[in-house]
Amino acid sequence: VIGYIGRRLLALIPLLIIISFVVFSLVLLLPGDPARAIAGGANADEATVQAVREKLHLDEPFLQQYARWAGSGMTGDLGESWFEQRSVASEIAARFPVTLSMVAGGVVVALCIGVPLGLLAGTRPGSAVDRAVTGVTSLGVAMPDFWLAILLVTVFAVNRNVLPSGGYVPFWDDPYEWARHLLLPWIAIGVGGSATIARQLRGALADELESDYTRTARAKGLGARSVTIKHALKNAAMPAVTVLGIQIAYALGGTVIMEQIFGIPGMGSYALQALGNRDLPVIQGVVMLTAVIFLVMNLIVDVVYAYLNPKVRLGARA
Amino acid sequence: MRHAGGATLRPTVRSPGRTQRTRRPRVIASAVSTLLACGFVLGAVGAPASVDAAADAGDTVRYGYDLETQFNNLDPGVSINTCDKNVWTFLYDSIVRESPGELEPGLAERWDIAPDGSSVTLHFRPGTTYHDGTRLTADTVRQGLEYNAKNIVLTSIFKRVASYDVLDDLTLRVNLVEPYPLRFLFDLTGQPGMVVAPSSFGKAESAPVGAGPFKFVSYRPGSSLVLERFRKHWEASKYDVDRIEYRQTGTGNPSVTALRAGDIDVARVTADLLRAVKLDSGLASASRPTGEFVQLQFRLNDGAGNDTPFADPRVRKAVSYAIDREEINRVVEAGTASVSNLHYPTDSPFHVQSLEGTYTYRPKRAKALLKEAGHPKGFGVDIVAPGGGIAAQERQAELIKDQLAKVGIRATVTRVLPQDVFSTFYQQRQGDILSARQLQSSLGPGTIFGQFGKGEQIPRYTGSERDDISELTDQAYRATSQDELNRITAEMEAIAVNEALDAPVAFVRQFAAWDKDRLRGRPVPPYDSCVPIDLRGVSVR
Repeated sequence: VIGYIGRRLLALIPLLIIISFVVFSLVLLLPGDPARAIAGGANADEATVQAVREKLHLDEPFLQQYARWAGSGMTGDLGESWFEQRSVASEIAARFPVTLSMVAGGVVVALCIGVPLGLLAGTRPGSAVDRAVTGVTSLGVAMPDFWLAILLVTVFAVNRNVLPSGGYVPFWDDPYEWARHLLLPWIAIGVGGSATIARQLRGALADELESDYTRTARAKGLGARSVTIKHALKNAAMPAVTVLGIQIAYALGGTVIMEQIFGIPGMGSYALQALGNRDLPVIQGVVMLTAVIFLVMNLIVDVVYAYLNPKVRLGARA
Repeated sequence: MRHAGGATLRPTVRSPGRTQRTRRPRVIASAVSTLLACGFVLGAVGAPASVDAAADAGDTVRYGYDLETQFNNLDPGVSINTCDKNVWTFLYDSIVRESPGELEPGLAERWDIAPDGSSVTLHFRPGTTYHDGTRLTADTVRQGLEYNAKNIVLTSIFKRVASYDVLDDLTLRVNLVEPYPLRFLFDLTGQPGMVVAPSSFGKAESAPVGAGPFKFVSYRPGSSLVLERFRKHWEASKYDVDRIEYRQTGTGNPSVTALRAGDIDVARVTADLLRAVKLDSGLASASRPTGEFVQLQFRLNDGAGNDTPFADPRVRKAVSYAIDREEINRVVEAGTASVSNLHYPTDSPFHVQSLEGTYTYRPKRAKALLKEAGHPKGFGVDIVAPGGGIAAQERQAELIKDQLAKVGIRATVTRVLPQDVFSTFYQQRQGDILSARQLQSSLGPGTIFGQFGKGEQIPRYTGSERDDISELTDQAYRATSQDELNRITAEMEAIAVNEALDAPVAFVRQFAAWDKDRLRGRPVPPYDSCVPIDLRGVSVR
């Protein structure tokens, strides 16, 4: 397993180089002149614009710019934001944990709701409980998370005044306030995820409980709980794990809407602001991190898959 | 038989195997819980701790502000965002202040202009100190100005300074390259004149020290910024709040939501949200007219030597008559703006009352002018409008399109992101009309010169450069008195209006809303969107 993980991690390097090159190229194709925007916009004088261009090396050929950035990136230096004049790496280091804590909480909510619901429906296919769970989860899947977020804010922050409408408090400043500020985002992120997990788990579990090996297990006298939890659930969990992995990756890379609604200073809002400003070093840094997250999550899902199903041979898949 | 049967059955049932079956779920559970725990722990531990804990409520005003997208840097010597004045005003004050169109004392209690305009002498207030306790002297201000001059976006302003002479402890003479004294003084009302204490040079982005009415306590980027009253500031007695805590609040709807939820005490709001504010009995609001105006800019030639229909003043005047400014105000600004065809509002010293009403809604007159100009059946134009979610701007462009259609001008609307307006409308010369909003220039004549002066970016790309405007601007910059400046600027305004060089529509208002159960007093909305709400006289209940 360790050898496999090592090989996969090595394989990430050329992928990341390609991704970085493509993103670098795409951003340069976007309209707008960051040097002019930095120099003050439409009324900026040409000398200042040119000075900014030289300072940021925007007057250099594309490949030279790319090589400069990539060279620094290899040492962990992602450059400095053109607009905020702060280190991109340190800004990401400050913001990524915020996004991570938001997403991790959302995943916990998704698991806490989705797994029991999936179990409940999957073990009773066709029953009233199953139909109720299917109805509720259909609603959960169909409901946009931003809409739910606004609804939660309206009910719990504006009408009831029991939770804050937005903002973020670091854990060490005040753990209670940290949780209070993140509770609504956790629910908003988690509800949609829980519906997907429940539906995946329900379908797979119902199939597994109809399969030969579970029938045999029951025939040999194992109790329903033991058959479900010890045998069927493990195999049924595979599609849910895949979905969960993808959801975590997407959530980590795309929390921009939630961060905007709840005013959370995470990666999403940082990326959005950078895009608006054509802040190339920031865009590069965020995209690279997102790419790494996706690749690592894929790797984790593959490893978990192999644990769940030994027919999956890690080495053979490498 | 049982034994054999059991042996046969087990591999199928176990799938993948007994020992692994009991171990793997635990491993997976451990892996998942470790991942989640890592998420929480990293989130909790790795998040940046603030320099100080967030301010307690008490005498703290919680100011809703979009730190994430509107704020750049605490250091004026580094920041490229002049609208960071929303914070700097409290931290640094400014050497000279601006009341719309006129200069007021700031850290400098008075100033003298050399008769030939070649220098400005600043006299600082005695007893002024920076937040770290060091004295503010002419020499520390000189150092502060030289520090700001290194900011790449301020270099063009400081190029106008030839040298500094420290005449005594509190007197600094600034010798100018060109005799444009008022222009330099007006520049000092903004970022160039917000000086950092020498002890904070190079560190002000994380630990700023200034001489403003509030000192720095903590800053958590994109989240919160806390300032504390500096009791030695010359205006300290006018402030009744001990702390200002800027809290991350998105622009627009999120501000009203946060106010209604009790998360913030005061915020700037837009005209379209006033209704929501007024529906909440716990909130109050105030507004004030500003110099920011809605206008249409015309392209007079296509950059390849070909005139557009707007090169003819009769066509420009036709558009000015075709616009129903009252309707735009009603639909776009909720009836709160001040309709005008001028570039300076009524409270500006450059306002020329006699020119007000030159262009009112007269579609028949517009049609007649078009016919006279050789366009009896009108012509087609493309209106470029900043879009991308700016509802007011998009509504405005659509409304103007409909109004122009009534006089025969067939318009299409092209929406571009605000940051792409320069490259699209100006550099690439796409579109014939720009539906824009203009902020007032820090020095009055600049508002007109920026649009029609020779060598300026905008007129270069729209073909609107005017010799007469440029000459008057040069005279205005050389002015050594406010009266002289006012007279010359009025002449420029007359040219711009009589020639219909552009089509001003209305001056917008700024609004502030606050929680009236929390705050006593009346926060005053700012003159433009780049300065903070005035909290003098406001206290916490």
